[in-house]
This record gives sequence, structure tokens and C-alpha cells, in this order.
Amino acid sequence: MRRVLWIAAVLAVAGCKQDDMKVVAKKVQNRADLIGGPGALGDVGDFLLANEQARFIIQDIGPSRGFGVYGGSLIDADLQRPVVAGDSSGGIGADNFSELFPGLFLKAMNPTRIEPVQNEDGSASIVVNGEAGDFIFLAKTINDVIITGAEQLVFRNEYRLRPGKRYVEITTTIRNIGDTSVELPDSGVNSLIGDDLSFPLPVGDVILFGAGNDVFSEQAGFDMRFTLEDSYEIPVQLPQLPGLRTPFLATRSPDISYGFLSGITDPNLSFVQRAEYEDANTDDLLVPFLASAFTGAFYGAAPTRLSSREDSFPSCSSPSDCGSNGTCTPLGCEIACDADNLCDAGYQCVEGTCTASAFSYSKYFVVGRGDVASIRDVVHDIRQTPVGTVEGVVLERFGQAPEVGVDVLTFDADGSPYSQHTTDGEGRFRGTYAPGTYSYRVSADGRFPTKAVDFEVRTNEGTFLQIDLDSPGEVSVRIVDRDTGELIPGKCSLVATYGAAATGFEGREFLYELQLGERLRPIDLIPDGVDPMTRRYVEEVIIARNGRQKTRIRPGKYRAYCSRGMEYDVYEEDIEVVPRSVVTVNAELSRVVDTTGWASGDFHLHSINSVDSFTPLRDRVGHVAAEGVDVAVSTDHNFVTDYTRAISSLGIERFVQGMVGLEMSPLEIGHFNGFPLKYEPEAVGNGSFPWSGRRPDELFAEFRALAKYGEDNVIIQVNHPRDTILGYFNDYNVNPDTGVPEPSTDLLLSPPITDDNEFGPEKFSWDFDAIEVYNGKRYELLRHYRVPEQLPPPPLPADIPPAGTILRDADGQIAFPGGLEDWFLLLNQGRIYTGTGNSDTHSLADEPGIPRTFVPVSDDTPSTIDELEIVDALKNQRAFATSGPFSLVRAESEGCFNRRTGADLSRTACGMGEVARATDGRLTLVVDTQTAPWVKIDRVRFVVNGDTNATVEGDRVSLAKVTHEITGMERDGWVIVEIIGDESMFPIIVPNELPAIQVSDALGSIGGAFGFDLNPFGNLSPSQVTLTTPYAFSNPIFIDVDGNGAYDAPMAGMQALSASIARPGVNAKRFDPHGMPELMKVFALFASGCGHSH
Amino acid sequence: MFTPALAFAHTGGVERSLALEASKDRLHVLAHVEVSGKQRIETWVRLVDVDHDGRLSKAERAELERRLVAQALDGIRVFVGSSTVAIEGGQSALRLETGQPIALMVHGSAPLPGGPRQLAVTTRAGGAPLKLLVRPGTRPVVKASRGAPSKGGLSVEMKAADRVSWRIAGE
Repeated sequence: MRRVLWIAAVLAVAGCKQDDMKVVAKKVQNRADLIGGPGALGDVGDFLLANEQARFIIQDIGPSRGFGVYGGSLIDADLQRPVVAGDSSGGIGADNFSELFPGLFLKAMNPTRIEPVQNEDGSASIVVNGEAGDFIFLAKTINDVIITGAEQLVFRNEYRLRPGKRYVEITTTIRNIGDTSVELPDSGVNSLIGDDLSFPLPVGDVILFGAGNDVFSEQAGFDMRFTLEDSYEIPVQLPQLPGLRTPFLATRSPDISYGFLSGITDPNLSFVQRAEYEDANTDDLLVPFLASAFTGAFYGAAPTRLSSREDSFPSCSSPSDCGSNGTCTPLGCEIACDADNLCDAGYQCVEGTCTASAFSYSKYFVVGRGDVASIRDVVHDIRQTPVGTVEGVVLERFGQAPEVGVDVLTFDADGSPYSQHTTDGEGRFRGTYAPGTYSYRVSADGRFPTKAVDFEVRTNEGTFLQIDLDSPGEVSVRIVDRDTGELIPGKCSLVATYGAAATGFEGREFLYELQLGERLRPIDLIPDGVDPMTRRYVEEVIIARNGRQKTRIRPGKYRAYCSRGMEYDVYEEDIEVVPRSVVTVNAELSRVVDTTGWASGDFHLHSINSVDSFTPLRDRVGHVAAEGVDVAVSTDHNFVTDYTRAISSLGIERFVQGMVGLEMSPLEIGHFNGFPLKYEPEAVGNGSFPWSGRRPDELFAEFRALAKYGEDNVIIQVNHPRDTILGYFNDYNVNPDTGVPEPSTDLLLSPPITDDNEFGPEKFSWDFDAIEVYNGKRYELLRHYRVPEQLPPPPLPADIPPAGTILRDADGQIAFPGGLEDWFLLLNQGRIYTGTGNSDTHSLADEPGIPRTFVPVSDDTPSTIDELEIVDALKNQRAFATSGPFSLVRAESEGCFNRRTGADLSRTACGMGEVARATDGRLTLVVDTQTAPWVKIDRVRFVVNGDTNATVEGDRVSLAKVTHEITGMERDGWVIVEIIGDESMFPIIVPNELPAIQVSDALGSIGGAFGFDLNPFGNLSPSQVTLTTPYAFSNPIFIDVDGNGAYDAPMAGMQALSASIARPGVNAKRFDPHGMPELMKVFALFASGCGHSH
Repeated sequence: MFTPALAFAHTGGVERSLALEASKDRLHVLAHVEVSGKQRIETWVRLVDVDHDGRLSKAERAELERRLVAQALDGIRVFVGSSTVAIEGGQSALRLETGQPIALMVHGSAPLPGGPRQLAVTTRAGGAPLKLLVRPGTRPVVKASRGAPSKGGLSVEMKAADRVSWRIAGE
């Protein structure tokens, strides 16, 4: 390290003025004016704000094109680039931002008017006016309790760009235009938390940075998730809320980075000041949650009261009443704010004038060059922090070649993450620092993170760092078909063992450092022991999209496991990686499972076109091919994707076929896939459609309108029906005992039901084709949760029922329903849907095709599979879902019939989806199962009408052919077959080590601060953390005992009965705070576990 | 030994309040009782823990709730004009959390004729004290026998055998 003076250079840069260029604010008339990029959402009709440094798009009025609800949000942002002009297909920039919108506690802005404005000071603005709208309708009741009178509030959001700046200053103004004052929060809330406490209503923003943006903050570095989770463990007392405090947020991604910081300078408007956090800075952010790409940032605090419009200003009868700073107008004294934009108590500074009926708060949204340091520079600029400059270069120690794209992480004197640099094409980096002592570490592909090295920064001086880095090793893989010698797509997992000293620790505690932005290395999740085979982890998965791939690997000894999905065996080889050398792995694989006549499909895949995925299209389809899946259905969130070009560009048409689909992803009424669909590249979202405020049947109708082969030839699949608020059955409160959607009994956490919105049991639609029973590695979503033999650690509820009992809540409802058992119930009731299994993979860390669904086709060559045959199979229950075993299931019967038409099929061996006649109540099932040697199975289970009829134990050899006779059937029914293994498929398939964080978890973290107990079961709840074991199930063979050639559902009558019972109860327990006496609200909050009693 | 009988002989550690709010045609009533102090909480729990397993079953919890409802409403009478009113649609909710006071709320309402009305609350001789809170609702307090009306509401500490009356506006 050496120190040089950089003052001259700094001054030179500072003096390089580019402020004379015009700032543009306009409505976009031509797609060529759009920004473009992997996360771009803008379209004609939106608004552009641009200067010579940066460009921003604010969405027009309408449903959000991101993951939010409303338009008016900032949706695209990029630096100005040398070549920016797009064409009719859009811009060619590098936007990777999703959405930013303001929030008043949990209320958002529903825009009503947007206009571009050219300001006198040379800046330009996009001004959005709107009203308060609900963002998460589930929380509407909480919102309405906390903010009474929201209908009187109007929002104004001004996005202002100044010349020469690469940040937009956003000022949000909330104004009471009603005839009565509005208390923020409602007085009932303060009466609950105590007379001597006053809860400052937090205001801030919801930021969807989008996948591919690694979020950074002080304290956490890039480990936002676990730092935030750890913060929840520290109890806080209202008015404080749990969360992570940081002066700013920034991101890292290859071409563009984003930053966000508060612009609040008035302590009375600062949430952290009003809530009296220790050592708080007025402009600190509080991040209460980070989930599903949503980042919450609270930093402002609303005044306790917004006066009515008439009481905005002090009354006056003459100019002398208003003092020297005021003007007496018909509305009262309009008094100018002081030099620091402050006003007398009870008044807030809004647009230079003190008012009692409104308040404003500001924040900055910054674009950077891809690293945190380029954001940090702007933070220093905005906050006028005295700084010095750090500049450096990273070189490979051996040949002194520049290290390009490596991370230099810096830490302050307390060891808290401070900044991050990404080296440029010459290995260089640069950034500004507040004066002080720091240290740096370097993280690079194929190298272990370096040790910390100290350095010092002085005001207006430069510090130069030269960093030498050890060389990486490389592994080159080549995968061929042993029979043909042809290159085939596949993958090689490099597995190593960790020392016994790490026993009992989580991988993130010793294998990798999330704080530095390192990626996770999956561990085997089996209890550590003396045997090193119990202490394995996957260092790297090398995906050879077309049979070859070379990757940098950290030096060490590994065992390479090369594979190509469940139909192939595994090649194994021990290797040692050393610096500056290439190890070659030549893998030969044989197909060991014969699936002739069947095509495997993954009907749920995400790519870079989903807001929560950053997987490029070529990587997505290449990974699908490497796992041996024949058909890849693109199902990006609210975006139609066509894989065709990506597949052909890799030359892998022989291995995988793309099918166009879409995952319609409303926030609170479930997620649905539709396929095959038309691809309309000229339309917004390539033909996707809006979801906000629309009922499920309307969304299903849209799918049919978008169907590639006509409305009768599209599959509508209900995805993960029991996955928190993302599950359709959960959202409509489908009773797992009756199969009937019911009104919610939750006083507070239930969405509002009106005739013209999408919520309420009567809006539920049964008009779909398939249920994604088996979603990724979410085994806990299969069956209803039962009390385990071994109870988890506290907290646990009182009165735990015996082990094996289905856990129920205080109302007797099944606490954690499972989709598989829902499906069984519906089959019993005569609601016939096809059960499917799909991966729902978003990143390259989760394998496509785990699970997958096989369907019979006339030609199973991937390039020529007929999409309509897949549709036909899925409409007729000819499908087999699996993560490993492949089974052919048939029933030997008196005769087979088509279930839908009743046609006699003139044979006695019946397949899935067909009706097998068995008038003597006896039916013989034959199950032929094949597995690759690495897929270990332990039992075959026969399920008749939802109950286990028989279980046959064995291994992959003895279970290869299982025959079972069902006897004693007295009426019609159905049978499915499950194939189950207990042994993990690690390392070919990695465990589910990190559960996803959902929006509902985020709500829980906020609700918890108010005393809302959203999980009364504590740790007695299903865990997402699990080994990935073999599991498969067939679709039903229907059993015709009464001999009429049809399936007469055994519980068909229950449908009507349950429905008639449920209907009168609609809205019976609904809690509508509007016009409700204060005391009822207080009681409702108390009964829901909210707040302190008082 | 601190017995249940002794516990109830002392009023310290058990606080109760009664809130009233008048709307167009209903008088809403919210009673609240809170048992604080580790020893006193344990005593209440022991009182209903009939199987002595140290945990409250559903039935035991229901019994605790029943007793606390009785405690919350003990000896309180609400008058509209000269008539005692019956509280309809009563609901109660119990909060029982480790390390926290035991708390219970009872909510109900009674018919309330329109026009200006005289309302009153009385407590019984020998009964526990009561904090009376009158919230303005849509019919604010215009005059009270005790305690100055503030922002349309009223707050009065009542002792045993006490009476507070006030007048509300019509709507």
C-alpha cells in the first residue's frame, strides 16, 4: 500500500462541470426512448426523466407492471451510456431495477394524475398525484385501524432530477383535504400502547431492487437476510420497530447498481429520532423486512395530527397577525419555513410554507456503475461529508495480470462493512471515504477471501492500494453419452468435506461469508460424525449446457459427480485443483431408465424475466437440458417468455423443447400458470395481462384468450396452493376438511370483501385443470402437518395433541394444510384435477426437473414432442410426478373406460386417468418402477380414496415390479401410487437448506412489534429445511364398482352440502373499522393479541 | 402461604376500568381487568389449575376467563335515565402470556335512545375501585356530576358504592 496525494485529481474531477445539459421530463411516445435492460418494465405512455448522467422511467397510471399494485412508481433506472438509442422493440440499456413506491405505514399511493414539469432552476420533475391505496389487502384492516380517515389523504410524489446528478430526489407529500383532522396513528392505537407512549406512524418506501441486485448495508454487508433475522431476536419496545438501521442501502450487480437514502433533516419527521433509537442519525433508514425481492425502508415519521384543510394555517384578520415571514390570505397566515426548512410546533414545512394539514419527506434514489462504492460516492456528495479518495488495483500475484470483476470489500474501524468495489477492465477501483481507519478484503472466483489489511484515509487526500491475489485453479468438464460418444448436456458437482471442528455449525458460519457477497455452498444436512462422508458440501456445480464447460475453482481436493438427471447414471472421479492449472474431467454417462413413449416436463420455471430471478435465458434452458428434462415451460411472473431462441443459440434442440407459458402472480389470490400460450413480442409483457383487482375467473379467461391453440387447449394450473399468501387455497380459505372456500374468521388479517373486488369465497373459481401438488423441494406442502414424535424446541403452544395428530387451530381448522391431501379430498368429491410436480426454480442453485411431470406422447424426441399431446394428457390425468423414480402404473380390470366420454376402450389394462371396471370390488395394480442407481427407494404405497391401502417395503431391485390387489371395494373410488425413498439424493440433488422468506413473514415481523401473533404455534410448524429424497406419485386410476362405466365420486354429495353450510356465513365475522365505535376497535385489537392492555 | 382467599381480599394488583362510548343508537361498553404481580398471577392460575399440572387446559382457561369476567363487571350498573340497561352481545377476550399481567376485556352494547340523555354508572358497596372512561363517540359529554368533560369525554376514578352521572348530546 502506498499513499499519494490525490488532491489535484479530485479537484480536477470536481471542476469538470457538465451541468449545462438540459434535463428532460416527458411522456414516452416511442419505444426507442425507453431504457431497456434485463429488468426493464417501461413502455410507451410512461414518463422519462433524463439528464446527461442518468435516465429514469416512472410508470403511467394503471396496474403495476412490477410486483406492486399501482402505477406511478419508479420502474426503470440506468446510467446514460455511450449508445442509448433503442429501436421499436425498446431500449438497449442495462436497467435491472424493479419498482419503488412510497408507503404511509402499509398504505401505498394510488395515482390519479401524472405530469412532467420543467422547473425554473434547470431541473425537471415528474409529478404524481394520487390517493391512499392498499398495498397488501390482507393488512387492510390493520391499516384501517391505524389510519382512520385515509380517504381524506392525498399523495403527491415529485421525482426531481437536476443537471449533472445521477440521482433523483423524490419528495413525497401527504395532505389532508378533508373537513376534519386526521390523527396519525388513530388515537385508539396510542390508547392501546399506553398513555405515556406515542407511536410515530412510520413512512417510507417499498423498494423492489429485483433479483440480481445483491443488497448491501452497513452492519450487514451483503448478508442482509441473516443480519435482519438476527435483529428480530433483539426485543424492542414500541414505539420502536424491529429491523436493521443503516444510513443507506446499495446494491451490486454486473452493469448497474442502485442506492437509496433518506433526505430527512428535521428530527421531528425522522422515525428513528421520534422512536428514540439509540445513537440514531436523523436520516437513518430502518429496514424492517426484506422478502421476495421486497425491501421495506421506514425513515420518516408522520406528524401526530394533520389538521383539516380549513385549519391548515393560523387564522388572521390583518397582515400584522402573521409576522414578518407570513402573509395573511383568505386561508390564514401563510408563513414561510425558516432557513433550515423548519416551522413552529404543530406545523410542517411543505413547499416552503408552514402548514398543519400536510407534511413532506424526501429521499434519494441513486444509480451507480455496478458497485456499492459508486453509490457511496453520491451519498457522501448529498450529505456533504468531508472525504478522501481511495484508489487501487488488483493484480494476479504470479503474472501481475489485472484481476477483472473481483470484489474489494472495505470495513470501518469497528469491522462493520463500509463499501464494496468491483474492479474494472484494468483491475482498478476507486471511491470516496470519510476520514478514518479501514480494512479491506478481496473476494474473487476460484479464490478464498483474503485476510483483512488495514488502510487509512485522510480528508482531501488520496490513498492507493495495490493488491496481489493468488491464482485460481480451473476445472474443465466434458460429458458424453457412453453409448454414442456424443456430447450431451449435463453437470458436474464438485464435492469436498469439511473438518470435524465445524460439527454442528451452519454452512454460513464457516464455509462461506455471506457478508462478503460469497455464494452459498450447500451442505449435506445430515448429522456430522467421524466419517467424513457425513461432512460433505458442494463447492461448485459446473453446468455443461452443451456438454463442455470450464470454470475457476478454489484450490483443493474434490470428488466430481457428473450427472444428467434421473434417467442417467453418475460418473465419479477424484480430482485435485491447484493454482494455475486446469483439471479435465471426461465423464461418460449411460441412460439407465427407459422412458420411451413419455416426455418429462417442468411446467414451472423462472428466468431473468421474473422480478425475483436473475437467471439468463440461455442458462435457464441449458440447466433444464443438463437435468434431462424434455420440455421446459417458461412461467415468468406476469411476463410471457419464449425459450426458442435461447435453445437454438446453444444448439440443444435435440435435448429440450421450449413451451411458452406465464405465471400470473397476484399478491394475495394465488399464483396460476397457463400454457401453451401465444407469444406477442410487441405487447406489454409479451402479452401478459393485468391482475390487480381481478377475480380468478377473469384471470383464467385471460389465459384462454391468450391460448396458443384455442381456449379449449390451454392448461391452467394452480401453483403451490398452500404456500402462505401465495397459495390460492390459502387465500380463499379453502377448508381442508370440506374442500369449500369459507369466509375468513380472522378479525384483522383478512382482505376486505366487496361485490366488485376479488376477495371472498364466492369469487373462488374451480375452472382450472391442474394442481401443482408437488412444488420444488417443498415436501412440507404435500400433507397436512401432523404433530411430530420429536417435538421441536420452544416456543411451543400449550395443549399439544399426541404425535401423529393433525394439528388444528383454536377453531378446529387444520393449522397447516397440505396440497396433496386437498387433492385427495377433491378427487373424493368428484372435482377431478390433474396433480403435477414442478421445480419452480428461480436460480441456478435449484435444479430444474426436481420434481418433473411425465406425460405419455407418441414421439418423445424433444424437438418433435407435440404440445397438444401434453395438453391432452394433462387434461385427462395421464401424468406422473417425480423427483427420481419412474413408474408405469396399470390396473388389471374387467374393462377400461374413458372417464370423460364413457367410451369403452376395449382393453382390460387401464392406465392413469381411465376408469377400471371392478364389479367384484377387487382390482389388481401393477407398478413397474425404474430408478438410476443413485436414486434409492424404500417403499411403494397404494392410496385408495385418500387412505393408505397397502405399503410394500423393499429396495430399487425388489420394488422394480410390485403387484397389489385392492379388495373389498363397495363403491366407486380411485387409487394412486406413491414411490418413496428415505435417503438423500445429495450431492446430485442438494437439500433445501435455506427456506424462502415470504411477504407474509415480513408482515409477521412488523405485526409482531404490535403484538400481533401471526403464528400461535411457535416452532410446532412445518419446516422447509429438508433433505431432497426420492418421491413420486401417479395420477388416479378411477375404479368403477357399480359397473356403469363411470366414476361416481364417493363424496360427491358433500360438495353441495358443504357449500350450502358455508354460504350463509359469508361476512359474518368480518371486522370493518369504518364507522366502528372506538371501543369495538380496541376490543378487536385486544382479542387479536395486539398491543398492551390499558 | 399466600392463599387464593387472601389474594382476593386485597385489591392491590388487580386493576379494572370501564369505558363507555355513545353512538347514534347504541351505548358501547368495554370493561377491562388486569392482574399483575408475579405472586398474584400465580395465585389466579393455581386457583383454576384443578389438575395441578402447572398448565392451563382449555377448560381451565375458560374457567379463568369466566372468573375474570365476573371480576371485571362485579357490582357495576349502567343507567340510561333512571333505568339499568342490559348489556347485549357480550364478548370477552383473555390475554395470558408468560411474564405478562393477565388481562381480560369484555365488550358489549346496549340500546340508547336518541336525543340528549342522562347516563350514570354505580359501583357496589365493598366492591373494587373502578376507573371510568367516557369516550365522546358521536355524542359528546356536555355535563358531568364529577370530573370535568374534556374533548367530549370524561375520566373519573370511582370508589366502592360510588356514583357518577353525566349528560350526553343527542344526534
